[in-house]
Amino acid sequence: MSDEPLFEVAPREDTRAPMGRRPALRWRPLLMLVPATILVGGVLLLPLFGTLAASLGDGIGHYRDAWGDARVAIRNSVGWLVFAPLVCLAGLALARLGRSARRSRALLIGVLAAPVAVSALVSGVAFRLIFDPNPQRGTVNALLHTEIPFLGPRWILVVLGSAFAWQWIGLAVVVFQAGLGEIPRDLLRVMRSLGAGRLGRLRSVVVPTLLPIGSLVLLIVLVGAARIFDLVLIAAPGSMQDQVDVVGVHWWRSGGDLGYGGAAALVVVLFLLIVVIAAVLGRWGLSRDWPRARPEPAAPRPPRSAVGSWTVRTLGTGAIVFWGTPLLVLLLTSVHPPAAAARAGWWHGGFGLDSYRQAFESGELLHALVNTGARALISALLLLVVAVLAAYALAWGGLPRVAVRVLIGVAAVLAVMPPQTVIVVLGRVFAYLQLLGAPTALILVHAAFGVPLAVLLLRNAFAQVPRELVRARRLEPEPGSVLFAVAARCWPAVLTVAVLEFVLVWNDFIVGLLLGGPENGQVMLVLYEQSREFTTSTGVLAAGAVVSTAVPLALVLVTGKWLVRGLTAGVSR
Amino acid sequence: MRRRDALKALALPALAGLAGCGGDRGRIHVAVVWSGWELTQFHRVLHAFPGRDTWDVSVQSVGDDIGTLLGDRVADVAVPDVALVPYAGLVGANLDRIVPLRTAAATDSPWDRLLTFGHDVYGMWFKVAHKSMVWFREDRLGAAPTRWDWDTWVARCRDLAQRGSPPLAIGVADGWVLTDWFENVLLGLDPQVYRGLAAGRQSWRHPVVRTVLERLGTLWSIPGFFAGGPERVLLTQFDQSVLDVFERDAAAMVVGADFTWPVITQYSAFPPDRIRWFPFPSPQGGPQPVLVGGDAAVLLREGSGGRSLIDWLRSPEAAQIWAAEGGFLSINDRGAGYPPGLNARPLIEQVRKGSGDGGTVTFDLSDQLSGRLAGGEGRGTWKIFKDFFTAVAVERSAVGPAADRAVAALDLAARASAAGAP
Repeated sequence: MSDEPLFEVAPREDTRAPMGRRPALRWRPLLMLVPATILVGGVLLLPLFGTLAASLGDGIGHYRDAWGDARVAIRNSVGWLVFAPLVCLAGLALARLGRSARRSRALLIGVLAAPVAVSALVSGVAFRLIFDPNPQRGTVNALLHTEIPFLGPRWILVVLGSAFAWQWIGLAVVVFQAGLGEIPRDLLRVMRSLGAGRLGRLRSVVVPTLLPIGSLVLLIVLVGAARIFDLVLIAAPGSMQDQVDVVGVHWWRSGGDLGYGGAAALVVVLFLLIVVIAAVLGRWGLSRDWPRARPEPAAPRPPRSAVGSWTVRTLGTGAIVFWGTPLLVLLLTSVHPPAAAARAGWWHGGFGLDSYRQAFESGELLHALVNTGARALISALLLLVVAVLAAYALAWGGLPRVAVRVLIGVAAVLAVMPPQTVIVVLGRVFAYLQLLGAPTALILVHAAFGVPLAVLLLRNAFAQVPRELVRARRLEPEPGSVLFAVAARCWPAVLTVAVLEFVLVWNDFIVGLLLGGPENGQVMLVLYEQSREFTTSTGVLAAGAVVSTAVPLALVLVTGKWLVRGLTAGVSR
Repeated sequence: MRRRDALKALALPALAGLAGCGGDRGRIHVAVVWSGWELTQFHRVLHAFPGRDTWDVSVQSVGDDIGTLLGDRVADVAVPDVALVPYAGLVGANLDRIVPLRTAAATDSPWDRLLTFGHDVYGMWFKVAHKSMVWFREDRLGAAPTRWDWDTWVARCRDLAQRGSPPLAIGVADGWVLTDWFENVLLGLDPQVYRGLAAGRQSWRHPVVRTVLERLGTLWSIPGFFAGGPERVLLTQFDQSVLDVFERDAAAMVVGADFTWPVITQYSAFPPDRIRWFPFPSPQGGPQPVLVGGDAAVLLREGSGGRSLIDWLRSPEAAQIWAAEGGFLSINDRGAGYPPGLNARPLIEQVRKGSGDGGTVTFDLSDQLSGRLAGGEGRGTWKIFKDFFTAVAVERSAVGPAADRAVAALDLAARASAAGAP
C-alpha cells in the first residue's frame, strides 16, 4: 500500500492478475483449460447446440407451438425470475439489520443461512405442512383458528414464494453482510466531508462495492428461480398444478404433446429468458475484480439509537422464529408415527419413532443415502480438480484480457442453464454410449453443471492473491508450485466450491429424475416417490426429509464460517 | 398408494431405459410402478420368493410421471428382467420386447385374453383392483342396500345434505379420482360408448358424454354435498378424503377402489369389522359397472430367473402375503387370506367376471387415453374434469354450460391428439 496518496481513499489497488503482460501465449494455461472445456463442452455446450438446432427445425414454428401451449408456464417462469431479485433485495435489507444486531448476529446468520442447505423438495414438504388447509394439521390455520385454503387458487403462489424466499434469503443475507463490511468507510467519510449526498455516496461507493458479490448472489438465486421444479411438484396439490405450472415442469409433463422440436423450443425459451439476465450480470458484475477487503477496524461501531436497537431485536427474533419454523415443524412431525402424523399436526400428542422405522423399511432410503452421498462426494472432488485448473488459467494464465472476458461470459451463461435444456440430447448420447443411468454418467453431468459457477468463484478468489506471491513462486523450479500456492491461499473458496457442489448434488432432483435410473437411488427422488398421497405419507416423508437434510445441513453449518469467506473474498487472511 | 393412473404414457422403453446397466448374472431386475406402502408390500412378497437363494432380486420403482418424462426420448440400454405393467395396452404396444409366457388355450379367462396376442399369452395378472366401490359408515348413511340405482342414491345424498350431514368426501386434488367417477357413471350408462372412447374410435361429442357430465354436475353442485365444502375438497387428496370419512367422521361415503381398505385400517382408528362398501350405483335396470385395474407381470428377458419369479407371483402363497393387508386382489385364487371384514369374495367374483354386459373386463378409460387427453397433474382429462368440478361446485356455474365447455375441451384434446402431435 505504499502508493496510497493522501487519504485512505484511493487505491482500491488494482489486484487484477497481470494479464496481457506476456506477449506470447503460453501453452500451459491452455492445457489447464482443457479438462473444463471437455467437460463443459461435451456435457453442456454441444447438447445445447443440439437442442437449439432441434428447436429451429421448423423455423419459428416450434416456438409458436410452445408459446401457444405453455403460456401459463412461461408467465409463471418470468414471474419467478422477477421474484429472485426481490428476494436478494430483502436479503440486503436483512443484512443491514443483522449488522446492527451485534449480539445475536451469529445465531441470526446461522438460522437464516441454514435453508440454503435444504433441498427445494424438503422445503416444499415443510411449507405444505405448515399451510395445510386442515386446522388439525396446518400450523398457520391452527394458530389463527381459521380454515383458510392456503394451498388453493388464491394463496398457493404466496406459499410457494415464501418457501423460495425462505430458502434463498439467507444466502443473500450472509453474503451481503460480508459485503457491507467491505465498504470503505474512510472513503464514505471523505465523500461526506466533501459534501456528497446520500445518493451520491450510494452511487459511487456502496453500489460499486456491493455489485460484484451482489451479482453473484443474484446469479445463484436466479439459477434457483429458473430451476424451480420439485418445489412446485410437491408443495402444490394436484388440482393446483395447472395454475403454478412453470416451463421446466411443463416441458417435463407435456413435452410429449409438443414433440421433440416444440419441447426443445420451450426449454430454449426458458434458457434465453435467464441468459439475458445472466449476460448482463456477467458483463457488469462478475468480470470486475472484487474489492480488496481491508481489515475491519476492531473498534465497535457506535451503538444505534434505543428505538433502532429495540426494533432490531424484535425483527431479529422474529426472523429467527420464522426461519427456524419449517425445519422444526418437519422434525416434530417426524417423531409422530405415520397414523398420528396423518391425523393431526406436530403439536398433538402420540410421539414415536415409527415413521423413521417405516422410512427405512424397504431399504430404498438407506441405499439412496449411501449412493447419493458417494455421488455427491465424487462429483465435488472431480469438480474441484477441473475448476481449480481452469480458474487458475483464467486468473494467472496470462491469457489475453478479451479471452478471459469472453470465457467468463460463457461461464456466466452456462451457470444458469436449466438442466432441461440439454437433458434429452444427453440421454440419447448416454444411451448410445451404454451409459444411461450409470453412476459415471450422472457424476459427469453433475460436475459439468457445477463447473461454470465454480470457475467464476475460484477465479475471483485467485485473482486476489497478491502478485508478489505469485511472482515469487514462479521463480521456483517445480511446475505446479504456483498453482498449489494460489489454491492453498484461497482455500476458503476451494472449500466453498466443494461444499456447494456436494449440497447441490445431494439435493438434486431433476438430473436424477431425468437421467438417473431408480437404481441410482437419488435421495430426493425416493422421498418424492413416497409423497404421492401427501396426508398418509406425512410421517414417513418428514422422517425421510429430516434424515436427508441432516447431512448437508451439518456440512454447511460446520463449514459456514469459511463458506462466507469463500463466497465473498475467497482468500485466507 | 397407486397413482399409476397417469401411466398410460409409460411405454416399456421407459421402463427399460431406467434399468441402468443390467446384464449381471444372478440378478433379477424387477420394475414396478408402486411406491411407498405398496412397494413395501411387494418387497414382502419378494422376500418369500423361494428362488432368492439363486437369484438376487432388485426392485425399481419407476413411479408414474416418469412415463411422461421419457416416452421416446431416452433409448433403452438394458431391460429389466420382469416388469409389472399397469394395463394391457402397454403389453400390446411392446410385443417385440416381451417374451411370451405360454401358448393361449381356449379356456382362458377374459383377463388372460387381454394379454393374448396371436397364439401366445404375454403376461400374468399378479394384482387386480376393483374401482367401482363406495365405502361408507353405517352410523351416518344408515343401512344400505347391496345395490343402489343412481336416482335412489342421489335422493339419499340430497336428503343427507339437506339435514346438514355431508354425504360425501372426495379427493379432487388427485385427478384420477374425478376420472374414476366419470368412468363409473359412463360405464353404467353406455358401455359401448365407453369402449369406443377407450379405443379412440368414438367422438367425445356423443350425447351420453354430456349426460354423464350433467349427472355428475347435478350431484356435485348439491349445496352441502361435500365435507368441508367444495373449496376444501379441491385441495384434498384421495387419502385425506378417506380419512375425512373414517377418521374425522365428516362425511358418510367416499368413492374409492379396493385399496381404500388399507388406508382406513392403517391410518384411522375405525374398527375394521364396521367398514362397509357397496358397488358404485348404476342406472335403474342398467348394467352394474365394474371398473378394474390390474398389474400384469411380463417377462422381458429369457434366461434370467424372471420366469421362475413370475411363476411364484402367480401362486396363491405369493398372493396371500399381500392380500392379508388389503388393497390387493388376485384372480389366481379363490379369495383365501383376505381380511375378514373386507368381504373380498364378491369383489373378486365381480372383477373376474368383468362388467355385467357379457363378461368383458373394462379397464380404466383414462389409463388408455394418449396425447393431450392423457391425464396427469394439471393436464389432459385430469385438468378438464377438475375445471368442470371447479365450475359447478366451487364457482357454482350452471351445470349445462359447464358440461358443454367440458365436452368441447375433451373433443378438442381428442382431435389434437388424433391430428397427430408428433
